Formats: sequence, structure tokens, C-alpha cells
Amino acid sequence: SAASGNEPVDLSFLRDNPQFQEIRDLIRQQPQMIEPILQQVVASNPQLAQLISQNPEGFLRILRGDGLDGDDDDLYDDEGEGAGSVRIELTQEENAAIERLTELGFDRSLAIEAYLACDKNEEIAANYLFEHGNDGLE
Amino acid sequence: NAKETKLTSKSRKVHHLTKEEKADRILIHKLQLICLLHHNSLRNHWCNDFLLHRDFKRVLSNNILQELFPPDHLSPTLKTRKFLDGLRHACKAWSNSFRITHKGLRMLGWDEIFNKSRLIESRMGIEKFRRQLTRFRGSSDLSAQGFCALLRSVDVDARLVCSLQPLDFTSNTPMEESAESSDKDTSRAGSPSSRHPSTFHQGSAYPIYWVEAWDPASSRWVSVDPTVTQSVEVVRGRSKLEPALSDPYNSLRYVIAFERDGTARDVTRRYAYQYNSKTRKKRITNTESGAVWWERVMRYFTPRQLDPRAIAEIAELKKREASEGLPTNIQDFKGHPIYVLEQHLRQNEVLDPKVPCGTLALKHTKKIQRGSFEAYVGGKTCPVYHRKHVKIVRSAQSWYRLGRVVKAGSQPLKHTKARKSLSSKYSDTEDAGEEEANVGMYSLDQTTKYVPPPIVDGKVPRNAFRNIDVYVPSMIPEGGRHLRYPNINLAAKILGVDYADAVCGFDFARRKMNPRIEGIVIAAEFEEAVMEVYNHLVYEKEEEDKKVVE
Repeated sequence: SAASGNEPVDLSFLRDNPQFQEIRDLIRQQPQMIEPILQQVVASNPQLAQLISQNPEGFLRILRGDGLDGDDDDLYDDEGEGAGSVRIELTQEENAAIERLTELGFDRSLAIEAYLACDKNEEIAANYLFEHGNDGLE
Repeated sequence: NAKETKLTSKSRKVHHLTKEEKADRILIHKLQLICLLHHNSLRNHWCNDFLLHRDFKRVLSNNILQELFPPDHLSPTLKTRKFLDGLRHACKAWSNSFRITHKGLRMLGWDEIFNKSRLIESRMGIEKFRRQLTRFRGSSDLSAQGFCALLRSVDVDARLVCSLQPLDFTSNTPMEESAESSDKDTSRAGSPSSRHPSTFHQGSAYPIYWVEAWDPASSRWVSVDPTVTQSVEVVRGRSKLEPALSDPYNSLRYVIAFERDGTARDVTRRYAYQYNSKTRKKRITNTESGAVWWERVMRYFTPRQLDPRAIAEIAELKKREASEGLPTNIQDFKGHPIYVLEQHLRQNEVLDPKVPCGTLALKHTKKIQRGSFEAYVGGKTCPVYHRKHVKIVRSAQSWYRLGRVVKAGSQPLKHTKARKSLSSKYSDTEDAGEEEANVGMYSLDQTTKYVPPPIVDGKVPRNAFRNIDVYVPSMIPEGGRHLRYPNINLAAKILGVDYADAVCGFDFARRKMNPRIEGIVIAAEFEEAVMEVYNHLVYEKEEEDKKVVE
């Protein structure tokens, strides 16, 4: 039920796990192996699968690891924390809608997330927040 | 007897998954999306390879290069025409020299995951990638990746575009769990699940990978498929690259364009002609929580600051989606993000204003048109509404649980037969349930934030049950504090401070709704004292527990 996962679990414990390293290599080098591996992970370790799906950014970061097959990775200009943040330009109208959502008692970042994900439909976003917005608080 | 066999064969086809199996499939789908994105972000990175670019510099003739970079004095239209010619010729030059030895990635059926005879390519690192490309041979996927590298080597702004092919979470095909069962596959040639497992699987007549090249003259992305369809197009209507919706090997659901700098955008709307009517249903974004999830995943690949080009593209894709026509059958309206039929409204939804924006012709209807005159004859029609006019309504009681109250004088937008709540169903009084039927439902804008009565002279206001409702933090009265610790009421009692138990929600137990009490509410001025006593009590208890252990 923690689909909105406000506090993603740190996945860095995977980094030194040999099984994970093998999976990472297969994703890089042999993509046709992804389906059987995932099927096995979900069957044998459903909790881990859940953790990964709740923290996709964290998992992507660990998959990327250190350097891309020996190449320099200057194409990703930042490591860690800020890697996922974006600046989004909002119109006045959209800003007002988000303002109203926060007035319902939700975090601004959560409100923006819901608003964008619900295709800028304020009504649906409000409903989504009412249904899921407080998951993280309990 | 014949009838019997027919029945069994039918029941084998219609396979029902348990709730858990469905959830697992969604989970696998999500994980596979992450893995595929990572895989492609690497392939995209390899397309920048310096050594590869050095070797590719000689592939394109000077003529082609002149077309790709037309001189400045030409008009924009002429420049665009030259650029498109250049892409066409580059595409031809590439496909003439590249030998496709086999097909690459494709969508698998759930029954094929452990199929031993399906093609699994040997591992490929950057060295092998380079080697195969400079020898101009490999899979069709590799060919498209090479073409992307080729364009980048001569400084054409090119994106590697991939149509991700995760397992279909809407499919009910049973899984062949054990590895040995796949051995039987060859003997069951006639069964519907057996596909052609050779290295040249029949495959799709549409690509999984292609390229988008930026035309600076027209400020548009041009799609180039150098492998399967060998087409160059600026997508306006239906793209040449979208496979049939029934294609078992290639299902276009997530088309991701990777830029040279490693960022990526979901450009599915450009290629999916019936995005809202059809494609949407097979995407994880079809549920709100799935949409939030996908947004998070793609944000990882989104640049920090969107440049004007990116903003223009996002707007263009949005516009494309909005201009998609009405679905043509009832089924495709279900969950449609823009349009809605009245019959699909949920219990807590209402149309306000109720103004149709179109008409759906049902069976046996003929549309006749004479000039501007339009009419339907024969069968029935059904009004179509805008989803933006759908309002979510709740009863006054459930608004109160969210910390809101209905404004005085509001007329309910809808009445509902309240579900027979468990408490009334099992309560002793028969008429308790009847009272709840026909409850008025109100929309968000008919409500206002609940302002609890303030704390006066340290006295906490209470409800009829001598508690205080704190379903959401905004329900804590002004001048009050909610102390959410177990047994903290003891501390308040000891101090003789006025407090009320805080009701934070309800639990079902013994067939009844029971208030869930979490901590107490007190006047703010007593907070420090109560906490001090409480901490002391906790300390004493710990000491006592220690003694018991000893």
C-alpha cells in the first residue's frame, strides 16, 4: 500500500551483493535475460522486489554504479541527492491550482507531484491526495 | 463428447489470475521498465563513443554531409528539404553497408520467459559493441544504435529512440513456471502458445529502436528508421513506426527518446495514434499511483532545467494527445482521461455542469452528413461528457473525516444509497441503517476547512463521546497540542490537567467500527509539564522492567 513511498529505503546495501552485481551485468550486457531474472527475484525475494519498485531512482543510481564500463561519466553532471530534481515552469493558473492543493493540507512537493501525474486535473489530484497523500505520515 | 472437449479447451484459454499473481505481474512490469531504461541509457551512452565516431567519419559521403548541413543562404523550407534528403541518403548508405544477422529485443509472452529455445544473444560490452559496428554486422537493434552513433559522429543532433517491450501486465497468459515444461514446446506445434523459436523469430515488421534527428530549420524532430521500414518522417498523423495493436512481438507502449547528454523523454504520444483510447490501458500510468510512479522514474532522466526546445516538445505532445478524437466504442471510454460516459461514473462522481461535448453512435447507427448538418439515424446514441466536469463527491461525514465541513446552505449534488455499514448491519436497532440511506453528497468546493472550537482557559472542547476528533492535523484546536504517545493520558491525569483522548481514525473489530485513539489533546501551556511527567513515567517503567528481568 506504500505506493507513494515518501521515504524510500536506501538500497545501497545491494552494492556489494554478488548476486546483484551479476544482475547488473546482465542488464547491461544481455537484456534478453531480464525477464527470467525478474521473475525469479519476485518469486524468491518479493520484499526486495517491492523495495526496488518503491525506490526506482535509488535503484537506477546503484545500477549506474561507478563509471560506465570504464568510460568517464561526465554526461551525468551530478551524483546522488539532487539527481532527480527538475525545475518545472508553471503558469499562474497552474500555480494557483497547486496552491489550493497545498491549502488542503498537503506538502507542496507532494501536491505538485500529484498535480502533474494527474495530467493537471486539480479535481483528480485532490482526490488522489486525499486517498494516498497521508500514507507517509502514519 | 465433442462438446466436452470443446468446453475444456475453452476453459484452458480463459485463464484467471489470482489477485497476487496480477500484483506480481505489475511488479515485474515495473522492475522491467527500470531495467530496460537503464540498459538503453547505457546503449545511448555507447552511441557517443569516441573511437566509434572516429571510424564512422568516413561512412557518409560529402554530398550527404552537404545535405545534412545546408548552407545558410537557403530558405528554411529548402533547408528542411535538404536535411530530409540527407537523412534519407544517410539511411540508405547505412542500410546498404550494415548486414542484419538477426532480430533483437521483442516483447515476450508470460509463457515464454523460460523457453529454452528463444533467442538469447551472448553478452555485449562496449568493446564488442564497437567491434560489431565497425564491421557493420549485428542485430537490427544494433543497426539502429549504430545509425544513431553515425549521425552523432558528424554532429547531427540525434536521439536514440527505443520502444520498451516489458511483459504485458494486462495479459492473462499462464506462466510456464518450471524450466523443463518448455521442452514440450516443440511437440505442441499446434497450440496457441507455441511461437517460432528460431533465431529468426518471425518478429514484427516494425522496429524496436530508431532515431530522431533534430532539424534546426523547422525546429522539429525527424524520425528515421534505418532498419525495418527504412523510413524518414516528420510524424503528423499516424506514424509509420507504430505496429498493429495486436502485434504479439512488438507492443508500442513506452517510447523513450535518449538525448546525447543522457537525458530522456517519454515521446509515446508521438507514435501512438490512439494513445488515450488504446495505448493508455497497457501502460502502468493507467492508475493514478502508477502515473505518479512513472513520473518519478522519468524524472530521473529529465534535465534539471527544461530548455525552450524541450518545453515546445512537451506542449506539442500534449496538443497531439488533446486532438485525439473520441473513442469509437463504449469499452474505450472506460478510464479515458478526457472523455467520460455517464454509465461509467463511479458512486462518488457527478457531472457538474452536465453538458455533453459529443455523441457516441451505438450499434446500428448511421451518421448522415449534409454540409454542416449532422444527424444520426437508425440506432441509439449516447452523450459524451468532458472528464474535467466530473466532480468527486463525498458525504458530509466523510468530508469531516478529511477535516472539512459542508458550507451552510449547500445543496447535495447527488444522493446515494449508503452502503449498509457494518455497524448498522449488526447493531441491535433495525432502523439505524435506514437513517443512513439516501445520504447527500457534496463536492470539494461546497466544503470549507473545519475550524475546531478553540481551547479556552485550558479546557479542551469535546465531541458527544467526550473525545476530540483529530483525523487530520488541521483539526487540532487553536492553542492545543496533540501528544501522540501511548498511555500519555496517565501523565495528564496525574497533573490534573484537562485533556481529551484524540480519535485519529477507525478500526474494524468485532464487526464494529471502533474509534482509534492515539494520544491526547491538551492546552499548549501544559505541554512541557505533561511531557516531563510522561518521560519520568517511562523512565520508571523501564527501571521496573529491568528489575523484573533481574
